[in-house]
Amino acid sequence: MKNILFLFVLFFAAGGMAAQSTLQVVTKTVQKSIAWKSGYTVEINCEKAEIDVEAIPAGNNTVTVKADLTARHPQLDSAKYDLAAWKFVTSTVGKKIYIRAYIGLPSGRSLPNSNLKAKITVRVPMECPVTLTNKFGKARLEHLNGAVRLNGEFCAFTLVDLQGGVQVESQYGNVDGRQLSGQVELQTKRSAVALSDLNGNCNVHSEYGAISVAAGAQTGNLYIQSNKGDVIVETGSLPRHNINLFATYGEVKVPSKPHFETGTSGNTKQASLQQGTGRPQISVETTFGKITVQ
Amino acid sequence: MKELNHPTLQAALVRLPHYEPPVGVWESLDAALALDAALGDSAQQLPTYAPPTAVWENIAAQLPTARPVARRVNLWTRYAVAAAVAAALFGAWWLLRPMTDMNASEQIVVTQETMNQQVVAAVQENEDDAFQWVENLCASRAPVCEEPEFKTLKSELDELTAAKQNLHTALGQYGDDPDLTTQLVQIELARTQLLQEMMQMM
Amino acid sequence: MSERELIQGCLAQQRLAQHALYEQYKRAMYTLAWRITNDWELAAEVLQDAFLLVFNHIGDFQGKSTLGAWIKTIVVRTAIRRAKYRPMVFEELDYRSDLDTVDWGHALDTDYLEQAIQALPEGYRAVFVLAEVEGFAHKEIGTLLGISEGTSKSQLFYAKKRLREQLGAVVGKNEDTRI
Repeated sequence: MKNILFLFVLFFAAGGMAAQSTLQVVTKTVQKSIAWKSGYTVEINCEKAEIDVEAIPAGNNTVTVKADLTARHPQLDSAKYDLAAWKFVTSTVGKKIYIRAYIGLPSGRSLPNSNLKAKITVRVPMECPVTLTNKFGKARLEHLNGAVRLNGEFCAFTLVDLQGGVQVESQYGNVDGRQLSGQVELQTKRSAVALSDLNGNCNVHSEYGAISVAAGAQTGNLYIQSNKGDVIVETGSLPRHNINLFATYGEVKVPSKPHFETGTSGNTKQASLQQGTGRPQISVETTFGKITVQ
Repeated sequence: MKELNHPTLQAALVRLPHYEPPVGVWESLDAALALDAALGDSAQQLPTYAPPTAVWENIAAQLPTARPVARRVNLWTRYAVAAAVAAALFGAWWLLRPMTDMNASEQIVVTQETMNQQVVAAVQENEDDAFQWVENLCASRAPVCEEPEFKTLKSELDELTAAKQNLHTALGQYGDDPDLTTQLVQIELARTQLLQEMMQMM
Repeated sequence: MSERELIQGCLAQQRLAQHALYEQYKRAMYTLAWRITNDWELAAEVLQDAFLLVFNHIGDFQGKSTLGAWIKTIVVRTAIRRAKYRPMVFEELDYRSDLDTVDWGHALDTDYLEQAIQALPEGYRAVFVLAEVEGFAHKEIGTLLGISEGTSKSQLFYAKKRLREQLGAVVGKNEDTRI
């Protein structure tokens, strides 16, 4: 009898575990089109969101937004109830179009148990400047000609073909940028940074994060300041830049050709490659980090 | 007026810098908020005083004189006024209504997903006792906790612990996001390294 | 701490939440206050006054706009109110300038642009910052500054004309080197 009771309990326990591993996913999909005029900017402000910002060809004066707001919970009723916590707002104030997805709770209501996530796709005219903030998620921006300004916490950024200049402030979110033109400004903390195909000047200020930058033929002045993080600069075998490297409490590693002047001053190791005036500059300063040029 | 190449101006304006306010601003705010909080209760208990009668006389002297008593209005006039008010209200709403959405649609669907238990298990791992041990040690004001190098490590550890807690809250009970979980693991590795450095100082 | 948690914390008058909210917006709002007042000390006072208002009225925030936009309006109103202690100056316009064209060229130097904005007369600077930097509509600017929508438009044009004149040489020199 005891054995039967044990099997009975085990059966229900196993059933419970199986139910636990299946989540009910309730998704609310909202689609909106917002009138856009030249001179308008788009400000996206989200949390727990995976955001894609894509360009639509010039001449199409509409911003479109598709938001999939989800609540995931083993119990369908709980997921449905928690879905109501998602607030999605779009509004136009002056020349700014605001797109906002956030978790709003009526006072007195506790945090939802469900796992809440959003997937937001914003399509903007190519020349439209975009400002975006996001926490706990990721953001991908592609093929934009307007200025881009980003602020993230636990948000990984993927930036591809942005022509109008980029400003990024990121904490705990890696930044991967390719084909960036105009002034590129990055301020990061505990985030890895990887940049390639830079077509303008670039400044990176980083704390606790590895930085890797490929400086090509189109790259202008590059300035990297890193605290407690390693820096790798890829210049190829024939760098066109003048290069100055300073590693305080760190190391400097440079190729044997072309020849770098190296030296040490106090706790700082230095290396320099000067190929004549008028060339763009690469300047890297690290504290407690290794600099590698390859 | 004609304006050419306006996007150039816009692009430059977006790049304008932001500036850090002086530290004193928060300190003053903090003091003002503390004062507000302190006054909050006591203000309710303060006595009230009657103003001099001349105050009301001065106010009354500046008010317009009373209107003559309204004549009785017939029913049709009342309907007309009501209709005009309704039309005006509708007009005001029409003018002020949100104009942002050219069109909008909304739908809700339910699907099922299998939760990635392996990822969730990584999120739900219990905190190592050694972290709490360091907390207790510093709470008891152990001399090592007052050393500058230890303090720096502890403040870094606190920052990472706060970040870990934020991530935990964001992931919740059913969060199986591999990217956020990877970040959580990286934070945990950094915390462990800090803990080891702190242990070596003891 | 998410924005929702910040708001709830501020509603409960938790100092940590208030400080976190202040930290999140202080730079943008201080910069905005400075661009309107052109006075670092006054900007700090504006920031303080505005955040006291924010904390005391956070219950009024309905979530219809972003929290940042709501705080921004409070900062603008406070800055304008404080700047009015030194009355805003609106210079008379030379209406012949309506025939002029303002051309921004292909590149502007941010540093010089910042300096040129600060060199604008007070009233024009406020209109320019509100319209071009912060994206307010002329109707909203009119209400904020106590001027007509038309005046806001004409002041903006005049501000742009002045700005372009000041940037003239600089734009030409730096066009190819700074983007």
